[in-house]
Amino acid sequence: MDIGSFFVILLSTAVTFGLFSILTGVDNPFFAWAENTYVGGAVGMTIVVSFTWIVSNLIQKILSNPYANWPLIISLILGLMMLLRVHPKYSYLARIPISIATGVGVAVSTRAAIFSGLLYQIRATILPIFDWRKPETAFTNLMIVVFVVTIMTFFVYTTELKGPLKISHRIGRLVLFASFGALFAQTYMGRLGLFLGAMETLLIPETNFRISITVALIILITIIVLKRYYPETLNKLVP
Amino acid sequence: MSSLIKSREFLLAIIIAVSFFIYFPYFVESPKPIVDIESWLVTTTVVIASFAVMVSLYTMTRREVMRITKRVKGWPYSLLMMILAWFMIVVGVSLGKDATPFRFCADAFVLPGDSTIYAILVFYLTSAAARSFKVRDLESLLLLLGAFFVLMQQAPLGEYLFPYFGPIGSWLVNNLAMAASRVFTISATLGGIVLAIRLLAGKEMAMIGLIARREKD
Amino acid sequence: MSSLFKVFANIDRRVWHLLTFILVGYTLLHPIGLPLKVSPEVKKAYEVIENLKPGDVVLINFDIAAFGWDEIKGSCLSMIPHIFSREGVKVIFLTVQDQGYIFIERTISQIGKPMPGYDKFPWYEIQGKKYLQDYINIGFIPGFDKAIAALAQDFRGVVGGKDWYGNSIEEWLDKNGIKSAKDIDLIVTFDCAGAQSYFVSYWYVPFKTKILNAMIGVSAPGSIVNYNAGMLEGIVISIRGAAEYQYLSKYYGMALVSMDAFSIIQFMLLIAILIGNIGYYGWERRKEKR
Repeated sequence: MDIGSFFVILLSTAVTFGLFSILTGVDNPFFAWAENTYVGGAVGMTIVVSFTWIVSNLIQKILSNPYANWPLIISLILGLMMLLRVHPKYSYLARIPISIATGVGVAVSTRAAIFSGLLYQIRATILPIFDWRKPETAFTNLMIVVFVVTIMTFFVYTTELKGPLKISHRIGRLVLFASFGALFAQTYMGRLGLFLGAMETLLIPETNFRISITVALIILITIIVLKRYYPETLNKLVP
Repeated sequence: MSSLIKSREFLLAIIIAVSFFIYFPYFVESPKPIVDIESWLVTTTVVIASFAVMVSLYTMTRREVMRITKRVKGWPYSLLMMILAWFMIVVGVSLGKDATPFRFCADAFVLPGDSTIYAILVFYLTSAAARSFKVRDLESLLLLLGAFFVLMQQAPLGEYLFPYFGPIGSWLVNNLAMAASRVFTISATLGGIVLAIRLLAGKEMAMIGLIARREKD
Repeated sequence: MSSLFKVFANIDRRVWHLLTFILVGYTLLHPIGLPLKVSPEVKKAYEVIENLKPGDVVLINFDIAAFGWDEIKGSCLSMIPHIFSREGVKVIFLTVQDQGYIFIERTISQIGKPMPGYDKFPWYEIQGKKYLQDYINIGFIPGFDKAIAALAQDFRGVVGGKDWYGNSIEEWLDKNGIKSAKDIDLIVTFDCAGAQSYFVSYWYVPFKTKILNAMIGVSAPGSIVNYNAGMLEGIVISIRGAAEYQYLSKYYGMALVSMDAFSIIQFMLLIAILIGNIGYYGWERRKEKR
């Protein structure tokens, strides 16, 4: 393993366990270091990727053929106007690109969502519930329709709940709680998968395992010693 | 001229105009110039978003420099954050995103940090579940049962011990949880449509930073 | 007995944290090898890829950032080699996440090898398929949902004439008959931020393009809704789905190995909930009544 790869593994392990150190319940300098390092790096990376895109897809295109790509010049001007947001006198000019971006963003997201998020979902809920040639499917379809309708009535706030609406509201509430349990389990599965992947990177192969154990023990012992014997020093080291 | 640009009506006119060029070609067969304007608007929005990221860099730098100069508690960490951020920006912009120092910083600091931040949640989910999944009434019992069957279906050991966990858990996920998610999707879409209409009607000008002006008026 | 209930009711959360670390570490290093059942959704995703024909064009979207990579890499490292194993299939890589290009390169370097005479990106061959002959990488297109919408509207215009590394791809696109979004036969999207909903809106709704979706667990409910509505051909949910796909496709990897740790921790969670309830009924509830 070359020295560069070794330092990448060492620093990435230190950042990982630095962030994990918050689980000890003690605010500690390792967590502060890891957190600030990560934020600084993330900002740097985002800026570079955005800048690279602007140069390669906008400026280079404009410079290669300004007459054919004249609309991109207007895009560039609008983008530069966005930077005026921080100017005390001319910040109002930034409202023009913000208005364009807001209008386009809202329109792009809603125009297709009308179909995929509303009409197709409603269509998918209109299911055959009386097809007794396939009783299992008919029962499942009936349950889906009942669940969707009762959960929707749970979110009705504009009218008094009485009679069938009240019963539907109650059933919807119970169905919603059961579904929250199922959704919690799926969320847990997702986060657990992330954690397993992170642990796999830390423990496999053996070099990573040794570095991980060493770094973890150093961090843990330092936190315990600081907390127990040098609490003022710990307080000074933490932001 | 500046009073025109500052006026609410001017900005609302921009929003209505761009919305028209986005909605119209999607629903109606349109001539090429209108489709070209739509493509240009989408590209321009991406450009504006890229420049907006630069604005965030300026505000972050200003805030952290103030913390460093005033020697606020924890200022060395702010200094570290600034040094790393600007080092990556200078290297990335001058040498490219594939330069070794840039990739080194990304692989050593950014990528492990990103994955760990979300992986930590599993611990908080575990301790929160232990504290809050208490069976007090029918609702909490259903919450627990829903979680129990789906957890057992997800874990291969659960299906191995009792094969019926699989079909029950799958049924709960594909019907019960799916129904709730469908309602959330429909509600979110309706909310989005309402927001779009309110924006076009000029009722949501706070989104473009006009709320302070309206209060003065 | 009441002191035991008190202990159960007041267990320090750090005990669960430490137990999680120890159990995951041990079972990852010493897997047990529990059997795994394959779900119908993953089987369907497998069959869609298995039935790809020569000449089919597959668009692979990496909506992947570092926070989801560890969870979704199992799917990438099994589904993508499976796609490349289909004869005559052409592949276009792209990403709508700013970090995505890093993970495209990581995936390619793990499943492929440098082409003869080359030693760096993009000149890798995967299962005998060579860069700029059988596949290309157009890299990051910013705008997320707007990028996906723009691609559907004007595919060649948004893609441009060059790939992520500056090589001309016009000839490759022309040779493979890729003029517009309609020429894409299958989209496989690896999601950390829900890009599938935009592919459904802008690709499935107008063109009925087939879409396969592998996603992190948090995005699963949205994908299941669209799968049940018939808008997605197949879904591979989180690390469990990745393990099932690895098992089916025989491109074995760590997702399959981590299933034991996965099971153990889920059981630990249930035990934690059980202990919490015992503590609640044995101690807290009685304390409230007193």
